Amino acid sequence: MRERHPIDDIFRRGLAAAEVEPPASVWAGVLRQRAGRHRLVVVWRRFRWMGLLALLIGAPLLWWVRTDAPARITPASAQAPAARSGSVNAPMGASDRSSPPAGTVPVPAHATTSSTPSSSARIPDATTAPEATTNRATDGRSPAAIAPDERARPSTAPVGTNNHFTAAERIGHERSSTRAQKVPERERTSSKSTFGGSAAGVLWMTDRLSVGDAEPMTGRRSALAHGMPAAAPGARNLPASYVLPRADWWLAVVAGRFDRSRLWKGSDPELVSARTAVEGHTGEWLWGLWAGRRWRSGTWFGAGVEHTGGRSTYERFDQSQQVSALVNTSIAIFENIVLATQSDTLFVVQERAETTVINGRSSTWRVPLLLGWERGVRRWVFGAHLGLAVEWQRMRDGYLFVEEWSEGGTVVQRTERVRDADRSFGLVSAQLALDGGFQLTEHWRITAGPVYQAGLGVVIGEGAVQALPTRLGGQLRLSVDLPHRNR
Amino acid sequence: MRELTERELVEGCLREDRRCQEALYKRYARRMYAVCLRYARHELEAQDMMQEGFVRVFDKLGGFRQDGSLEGWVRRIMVHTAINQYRRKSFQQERFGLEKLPEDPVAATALAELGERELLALVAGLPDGYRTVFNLFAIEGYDHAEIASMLGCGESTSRSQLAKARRMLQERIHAIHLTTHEGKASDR
Repeated sequence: MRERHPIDDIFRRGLAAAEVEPPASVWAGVLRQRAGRHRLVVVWRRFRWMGLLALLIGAPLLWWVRTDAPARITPASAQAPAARSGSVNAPMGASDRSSPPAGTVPVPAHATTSSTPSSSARIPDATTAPEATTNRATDGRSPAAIAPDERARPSTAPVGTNNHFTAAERIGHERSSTRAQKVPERERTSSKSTFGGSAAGVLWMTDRLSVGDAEPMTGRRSALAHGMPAAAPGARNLPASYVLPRADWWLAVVAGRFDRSRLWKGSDPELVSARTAVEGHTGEWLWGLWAGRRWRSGTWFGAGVEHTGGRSTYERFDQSQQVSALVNTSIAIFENIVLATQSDTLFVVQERAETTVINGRSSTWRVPLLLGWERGVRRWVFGAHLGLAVEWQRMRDGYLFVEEWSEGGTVVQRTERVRDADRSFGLVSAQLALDGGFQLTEHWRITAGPVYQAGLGVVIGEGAVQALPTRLGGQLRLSVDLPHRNR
Repeated sequence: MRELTERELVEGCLREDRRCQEALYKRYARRMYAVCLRYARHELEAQDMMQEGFVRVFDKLGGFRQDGSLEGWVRRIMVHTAINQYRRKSFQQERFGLEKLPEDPVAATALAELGERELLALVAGLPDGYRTVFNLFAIEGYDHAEIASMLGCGESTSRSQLAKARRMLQERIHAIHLTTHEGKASDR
């Protein structure tokens, strides 16, 4: 039960119908806020497809152009500190990460430091006698193997060369220089890898895969796969030629929303015209499961099972006239003689107005076979796919609108319930789609894009009436790469 | 010039007709501003609330089923806008004791002569939580279960806040009485 209180009554009486004039700035603010939002909505509605298309085409194109750019040689002065930073304990390719930007080729460190040594590398203390040791250190011996007298012996090398390093520094320097020279292409492209370089991921892969199911990664293709983490901690223990599988099996859950229209065909022209007259565009949801195989080249194929369902309501307003003729005949007879006859005809016109609501529900099972292609840029994936599908379409429920003319000219409207068996048929359709995706984790990926599907022809159940659908919409799929089997 | 009906107003607004939008605003602005003033701490907040509320009204007008009162529908949107604004802030007023309540000066007017402005000032002087619950319960007519679900708090919280709000308002009204009587006594 509601509590009553005198205070409540005082305020309710006083304030329930209270009116206070707001400042004019409020209305100006409402207009301003709505104008901004409205403009955004209009721009979005007008240009969303163009924007999406530009993104889907432009992003892969930009990536393509950037990765195809000729390698630039970085100035030596910029290279020297980077190469030197690779000390004895530095991981292989550390210099690759520390200085060159993506797309550049590391220049051998010894070639650069000899002409422009960095001030930070100089050892001002004369007791270290760097010039004495460095010439020997390059012959492959370890610092410990170099005799103390050799270390102390003054060098004849001119000041200003790389002889300014200590032995240990020199060895480390040489090693890193050698490594920089030997950095394979896969490492140089690792900065463009799909997965950004996870040491654990690569180790996991190399650990689990057998060579028979794999091929070495070279060149641009490595950018699509899990990249070699050139400078990742602990990466120096990785095998020199790590391998990746040639292809992955994947599984995906698909969902989509389509705008569907149907072209009606069949042997019964009346039904076809009736259907065409009342059916327009309708929304359809799609759910499905796909599976397929993806190769490192970016090509993939897939097959699956999908179900789409749509519900549509059509309303039709009809006016008609029902005309009835009443004939009244009078005959005057006297002694078997017809004296007069009179015949009156009375026409009764009944106006009829009727609204016919036609509900239709249809469901379609699709089995698509798809062929696609994609490219990856870091964790983003762009591509396209096309395919053929076998569809089994069934009208689950519905009413048809039929107009009938009687002999007397009376218009009769009739709605007819459609039975499932009457309207089930199979057809072949084609589909074309653009894909834009994002690699969520090492195995999980989410992909979305616009899809166009068109019915090509009816193959099963040609009868009174069939429909060829045309769908335009968006599709979202969540896919997972299945783990490889150990052989 | 005849006044537009509610239906005409709504249809005009849905066509993005500026004159209809302005007419709708002018028709309800004064009442809705009073509603916003009841929920807001000060006028600037009430103006923000009202602006946001009317933007939502125009955005959601397509969902208005014309079987009810348009004013009631607009008022509900205003109240929900106010509640959303309140929910963004924490429910910390629940922990306020009466001793710590902010003391707002109230105009020394006799209770019987309390006008809308004074009543609004009294309500505005309440802490946020008390004010919102009091408005929803005493003026809008919601019950505690509804208030609890709207504010995301327990029914008991709603009850206690209402009780504290009433007590605080009583004290303030009592203080107004005393001030008025003292003023009259000193006049003699």
